[in-house]
Formats: sequence, structure tokens, C-alpha cells
Amino acid sequence: MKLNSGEDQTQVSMFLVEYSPADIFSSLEDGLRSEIGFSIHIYRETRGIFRLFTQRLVHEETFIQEARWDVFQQQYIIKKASGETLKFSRKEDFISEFFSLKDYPIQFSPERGKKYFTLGRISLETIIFLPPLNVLSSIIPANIVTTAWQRHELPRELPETKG
Amino acid sequence: MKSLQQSQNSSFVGLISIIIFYLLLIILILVFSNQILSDIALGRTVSNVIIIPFAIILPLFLIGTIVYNIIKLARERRRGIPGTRYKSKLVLFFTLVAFMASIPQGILSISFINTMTKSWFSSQYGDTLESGVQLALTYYNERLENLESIADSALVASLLRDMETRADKTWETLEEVNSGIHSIQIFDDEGRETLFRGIPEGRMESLALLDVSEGILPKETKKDTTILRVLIGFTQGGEEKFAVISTILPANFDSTAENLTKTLEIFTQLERYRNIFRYVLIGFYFFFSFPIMLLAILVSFILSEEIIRPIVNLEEATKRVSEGDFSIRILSRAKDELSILIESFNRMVAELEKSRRQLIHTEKITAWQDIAQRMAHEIKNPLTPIKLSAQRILRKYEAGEKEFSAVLKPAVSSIIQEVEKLNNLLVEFRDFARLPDPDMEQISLKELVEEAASVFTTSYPSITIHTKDIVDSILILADRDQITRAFTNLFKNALDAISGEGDIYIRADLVIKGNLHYCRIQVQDTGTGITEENLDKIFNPYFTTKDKGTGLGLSIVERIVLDHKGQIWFETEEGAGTTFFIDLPAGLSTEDLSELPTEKLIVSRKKRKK
Repeated sequence: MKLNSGEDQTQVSMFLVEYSPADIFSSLEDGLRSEIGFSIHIYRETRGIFRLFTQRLVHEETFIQEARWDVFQQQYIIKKASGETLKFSRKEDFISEFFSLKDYPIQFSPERGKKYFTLGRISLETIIFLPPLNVLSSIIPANIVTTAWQRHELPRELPETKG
Repeated sequence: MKSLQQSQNSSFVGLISIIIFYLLLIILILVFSNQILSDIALGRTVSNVIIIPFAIILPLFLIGTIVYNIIKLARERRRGIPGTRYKSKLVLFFTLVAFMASIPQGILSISFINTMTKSWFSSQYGDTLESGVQLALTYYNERLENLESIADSALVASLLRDMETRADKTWETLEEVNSGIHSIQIFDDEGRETLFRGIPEGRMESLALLDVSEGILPKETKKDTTILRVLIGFTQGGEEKFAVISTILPANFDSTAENLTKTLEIFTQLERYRNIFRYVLIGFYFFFSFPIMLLAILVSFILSEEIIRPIVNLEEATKRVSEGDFSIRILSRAKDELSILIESFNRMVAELEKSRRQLIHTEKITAWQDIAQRMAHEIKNPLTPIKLSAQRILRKYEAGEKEFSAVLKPAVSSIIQEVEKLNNLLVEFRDFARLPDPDMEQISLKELVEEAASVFTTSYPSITIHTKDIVDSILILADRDQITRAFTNLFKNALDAISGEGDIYIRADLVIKGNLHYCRIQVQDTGTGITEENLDKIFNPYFTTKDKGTGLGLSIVERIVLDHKGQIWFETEEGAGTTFFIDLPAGLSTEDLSELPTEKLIVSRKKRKK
């Protein structure tokens, strides 16, 4: 997880690591779709003995993108939440794009003098179940991979870390 | 007047609780099932966290309550509480009925789920879908291969060189050579279009050409039209040119193919997860039906309680009546057959109570008549020798006989003796009729008994009074003089029973029953015992089997014990001896003694014959 905070905008980058994409490719090539969600929560930190109770969620955002295999064009397609569609013939390019969120702009401006921290989490749904099978999505444990929340302070610049 | 009604109220509260709980359960089921169905319909991920506590806590709570009720029922059965066997049967029957009612429903639901999932997963549908996709794919690939063959064709290459000089003719030739070509577009090396022939939809934006290389170009979709293209480079008059040959797929090809692939996607999912899906559906059925089943079992406890309550009340009341409590009544608000029975029972008990009062009244009159007769008899006995002695003195005095002085002394002595007897009789009667209130103090029982016993062992060396079985530490709150007198009377009674020779055993133990502390004292003789005919009379005033007895000894003992809020009874066997049992409150202050509930210290005579 990487954060860049500017005057008007904060950019976040997140990468899913330590995950074997074999299951994803197997599902995609069977004609199924996968989905990945990048969740970002920004908290304003307070000091003192009541800080555990007074940390306030000031912004939250989730970026979702969906992947599928186009059997006609023999390409991996990534459809972003904005509607933008990306096509990849090479698996490496697809992995690099699908499992990461690069410089995603968050419409949040930190107030001067306040201290903030962010929690980031990635949630991967290997198969997007269609109705009525979507009832299985939470029941099949291996289907949803969710990372732990990763905490980062919100300075101007931060070194890149793995999330 | 006492009544049996309290449990009815608790049953009513229980029933209301169950109804409220049932409504709550139904609302929760409707809300959550609606939520799940809505999630399914909208294709959302079903991960409602509230449903987890609902799924776990609610059945657990119900199971816990049922287990609690089962344990309670089992304990009540072990303790022999009335109605528990009948209640167990009712609960079992209700539970069986609930199971029997839900089993066909469950079988039907599971069968329905199996049939539905099997019909969804029919291989016929799957094959059809796969064939459709395959057909579309084959068609698509053929069109691509056709474009590739055009690109590789020498004829097409030669035709392209003539394209700009004889455009229309060349286009016609191309259409004739390959019917799959729908348009042709020529660009110069800077991406500017120099020529276009064919269907206008096939036209490509010139700028898009800059980023691509020769060969098949990415598919383009405009509204419902899908266009496949191939880019061919050629040289004309020394200039580098590019030709884009397009083929247009049938209208809505893309959307149809997408629909096919989506349907195939669902089918692939259904085929892959058919078993899990079936189990989940069955699980959902049980998830919603199981709490209802548990609730039905819980209701069976309440209903069975409601049903057996009047019967148990009747049984309890009958038992109390048989023990002599005629003040009991059963209250019933219900207007059913059982209420008629209860009403009849209450009437019968009222009649019995009335009869018993009349009987007691008659017994009291008879008892006092008997006492009066005995008093008269006891008073008359000394009067005769007094009268005779007085008459003898008078006769001798009037005759002026010389031996008058010799007769006077024994006659007057006899009169004095008989008057003394009469006085004793009257004192005892007065004492019996009006014993003073006990003056309570803490007394060591063993010391008191040994003190009372020492008088007898001194006067009657042939008897032994055993006191070693009296626990040293026992203290009683009692009037020293009255209790001493009670023991004296009991010892005197025992002494007469063993004819002044033998053993008398005294035993005392501290008994603790809940909050009740009392001392149980046993006075056992090895005498002749009490005959069957006298069992009911020995505590009656002036009843005696002895020549010299006044018949007030045991009556006074009973009276003293009752005044100390204790109880007395005996066990006897003819030829083997008699044991008197006395329970006296122990280890308590005077205030505590006065506050003891008299119901717990039932003052009655219990006579048992071994």
C-alpha cells in the first residue's frame, strides 16, 4: 500500500501480493468472472486517554474492478467501476493491472494540524456468482480472499509497502 | 381459606411469552428471508452479518430453554411431583405431532429442491448453450481467417495497387473474389484516408491507424454492429500505403454472443456447484423451519403445563383434604368440563369442613362431659372416707364414749389425708387447665435431663436412665420448670411401664431442615407398650390405666410441648415398649422462637404403631 497526499488530493496505490493467480485463470478460462475490491478508510486520529473511542472515520472508498476472458478475442478483459475496459493478451500484463490499484485519487484533503491514518484492505472474489448462486458467495470459504487491514499514517510522502 | 391458583398465572405468562416470541420469530424470518431473496434477486453478495447471530443464537436459546425444561421435568419426576408423568407424555405427544407435521413438509421441500436443481442442470441445456457459443466462435474465427487469407492473397495485393486508379472496378472485382469483404479503405503513410468503398459502417477513423501494425485489427463495435478488419501495407508509385479491409458481422452479433457466454457462465456455475447449492437450499429450509420446530416443542411444555394444572391442583387438594386440611379450595377461571369437576370438588370439601366442625364441636362437648364426670368421680372418692370419718367422730362424741380421743386422731388424719388428695387433684386440674406462659431461657438439654433423671435413679435404684446419646452441645430455649415437669411426667410414665425396674433410654439430636433448626428428643422404655384400644386416648385428660394415676400426666406433657411450639408423638409395640418423640425448637433466641411459622411446626399428635 502506498499513499501520496497532496494539497487537494490523496492518491493511493495498493497491490495484492502473496496470492497465486492460478485459481483466477482457471475460473476465467472456464467462462467465469472475478472481482477485486480495494477498500480505503481514512481516520482522523485524536490524542489523549479517549483516543480509542474518538478516532473518527472521515472518508471511505472502495474501488472495484471485474475481470473476464473474452473467448472470441482470446483476451483478458478488465472492466473498471468507471466503465473503462482494458484488454490484455499477456497474462503478466493482466496480473499487473488486475491485482493492483495504481495512483487512485481519493477526493479527500486533510486539514492542517490534524493527524490522519488510513486502513486499506483488498478483497478478491475468485468467482462472481450469478443469481441465484450468489447465495454461495459467502458460503464457499475459498471464493473470497480478504487481506487484513493495513494501517498507514498519512504524511506527505510514504515509502511503498506491501499490503 | 387457601387456594391453588399461582401456577396458572405463570403458565399464562409463559404462553404469552411464547406467542410474543413466535411473532418475533416470524417477523425475523420474514425480514431475513426477504433480505436474502432480495440479495439473490439483485445479484448481491449474501453476507448479512445479522443473520449469523440469528442463525446461531436463536436456535441455541430455544435449545437451551428446551433442555432446561427437560431437566426440570426430569427432576420433578424424580421428586415425585404430581402430574409430571402425565406432563412428560403430553410433551412427548406434542413433540411427535410437531415432527409428524413437519416431516412430510420437509420431504416435499427437499424433493422440490432436488427436482428444481436437476431440471436447471439438465445436460441438454448445457450442450445447447455450448453448441451455440461454439457456433458463434467458429463463425467468428472463419471471418477472421477469411480476412487473414485476404491479407495473404497475391491477387488482392495486385488489385490494391490498381485501387486508386480504377477504384470502382477494383472494388467490384474484390467483392466478386471474396463476398466477405464489406468495405475497403486506403490510407497514406500519415494515416490520411485517400479512398473508401463499400458499406459506410465499415469506415474506420484514420487516427486509430497510427498505433497498430499490419494484420488483424482489434474488433470494433458500433451500436449493434461489429466490424472485423485487417490492415494490409502496400506500395503504389513508390509511396507507402495502407489498406483496411472490413467485414461486418451480422447485426447484434456481439450482444447475442455476450448473452450466450453469460448464460453459459451461469450454467457453468450451476454445474460446478450444483451439490453445494442444493445443500445450501436445504440448509436454508432447515434454517427457517428448525426454530419453528423448537418453538413448537417449547409450546408443548407450556400447553401440557396448562392442561395438567387443574388435574394436579385436584390431586394436590385431594391430598390436603385427606391430611385433614378442609380449608383448601381450587380457583378456576376456565368454563370447561374440568371447571365443573373443580366446582363439585370445592362444594364437597365445604360440606366436609362443615361436617368436621360439627364433629369437633360434638367431640369437645363429649370431652368436657367426660372430664366433668371424671372430676366428679375423683372428687367423690375422697369425700366418702371424709364423710365416714366425720360421722364416726360425731357418733363417738355424742355417745360420750371413752375411746373418743383414741378414734379422733386417726379419723382426723384420714380426713386431712383425703382433703390433701382432693387439694392435689384440684391443683393438678388447675395446672392443666391454666399452665403459666413459658419463661424461655437457654438451657443445656443434657444437664436438664440428667437433673430430672437423678431424682428417679436415687429413689428407684433398680432403674437405669441412659442419657449418653444426648449430644452435649444441644441448647434449647424453654421454661426450665415446665420442661423439667414434662420430663418428670414422661419418666414417671416410663417407670410405671417397666414396673419400677429396667432401662429407660433418652436420645436427643439436632435436626436441620432448611432454615428450621429443632431438637428431637426420644424417651424410650422397655415396658409393656400401649394396647391398641388405648392408642387414641393416652393424651386425653383423666385417662389412665393405673390405679393411682390422675390421668393428667401425659396431657400436661403434651400441653407443655405445644406451649413451646413443639410437637409430640409416640411409637409403641405391645410387650416391647414405647418411645415418645418430642421436637423442640433449638438454638434460637426467644424472639426468633416467637417468630417461627407455626405451619412448619405442625402441632399434632402422631401415633404410630410398630
